[in-house]
Amino acid sequence: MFYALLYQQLRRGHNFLGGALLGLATLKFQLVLGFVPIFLLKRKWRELAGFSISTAILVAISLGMTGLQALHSYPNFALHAELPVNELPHKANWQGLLSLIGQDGSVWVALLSVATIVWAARAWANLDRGFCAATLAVMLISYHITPQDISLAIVPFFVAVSAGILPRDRVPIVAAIGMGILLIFMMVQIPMALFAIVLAAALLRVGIRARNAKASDRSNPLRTTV
Amino acid sequence: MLVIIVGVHQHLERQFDFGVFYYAAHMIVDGKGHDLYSFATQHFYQLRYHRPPDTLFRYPPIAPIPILPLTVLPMSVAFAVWTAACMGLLSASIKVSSARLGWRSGTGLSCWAFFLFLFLIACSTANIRF
Repeated sequence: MFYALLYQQLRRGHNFLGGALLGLATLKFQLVLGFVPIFLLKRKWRELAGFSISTAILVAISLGMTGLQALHSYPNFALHAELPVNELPHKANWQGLLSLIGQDGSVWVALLSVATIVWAARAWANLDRGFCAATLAVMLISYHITPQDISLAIVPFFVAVSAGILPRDRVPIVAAIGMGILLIFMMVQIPMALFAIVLAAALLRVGIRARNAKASDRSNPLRTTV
Repeated sequence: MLVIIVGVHQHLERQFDFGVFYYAAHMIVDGKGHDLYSFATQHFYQLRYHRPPDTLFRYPPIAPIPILPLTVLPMSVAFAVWTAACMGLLSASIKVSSARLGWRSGTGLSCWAFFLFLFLIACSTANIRF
C-alpha cells in the first residue's frame, strides 16, 4: 500500500510527501532502505527529506515505547537470536539465490547489490521506468524477503503496463506464466530463492528499455521525456 | 477466503508469525517495552501466549506498532481482523490500479488480475513460516 501511495504522490509531483510515505513503510525497513541509495544517486533531495523526517518520527515513537537501552541492544539481540529454520533458500533475493551455491554472505552479494542499485538508478529515465526498476532492485538487494513479500511486485507490474514497458496484449500470458511459476514453486517446494532470477530478468528488461528510450530520444531530439 | 485462512491459522497457529508480533505488542502495552530484546522476558510472553520458544521477536521496535490496537482482542480475533485489513488494502490497491488502466470487470484482463489477486492474497496474508 505504501509503495502504491508513494508512486501516486510522485506521479502528482508531491515528492516530499512521497518520500514521507516511504519513510512510514520502514515498518518493513529491509524492503525500503534500498530506495535511499537510488534516490541519492538520482539526487532526489525532496524525497530524501520526506523520508528522513517520517523515519525520524518513527524512531522517536520507538524510543518512547522501548527506551534507548532496548533500541541499543537490538542489533546484538538480532545477531544472537538464532532462526528456527534456514530461511535463506526461501528468500527471492541475491542473498537467497547465492545461498543455493554456498555463496551467501560473500563479496558477490555486495557486488551484485551495488551493481543492482547503479543499474536501477541508470534506468530512472522517467518516473515509470525508474519506479519499476527501483522496486525490483529493492526486492533483490533486501536483507530479508518472505515469499508473501513478492506481492510487492504488483505495483511495478501495473506501472509497467501503464507505461507501455509491458504491452497490454501480453498481460494475460505474463500473468499466467507468473502465477504458474509461483504455484509450481509453492507446490513442488522449489526454493523460492530461484524466483530472484525472474525479478532480475524483469529489472534487466526495464533497464534495457530505458536505455533504448534514451537512445531513441537522442536520435530524435524533438521527442521529450518526463 | 478469510474464513479458510483464519481456519488454517487456528490449526497451525504456532507456524504463523502473527503470534510473534502479537506478543511483542502485548509486551509494549504491558510496559515491558524496555525488555523487548530480553530473551527471558520474551520467553515469559511466549509461554503466556502458547508460542514455541524458537520463534522470537527479532524485528525493530517499530514493527509491532500496527498490531498495538489489536491487543485488546484475543489472538484469533486479532488475526482475523488483521487478515481482513490486509485483504481489503490489497484489494483496494489492485482495484484502483485496474481502474486506472481501464480494466473493467468481465474482460479477459481483469480475470487475470483477479486470479493474480486471489493467489497473492493467499501469499500475503497467510504468512506461514516456511
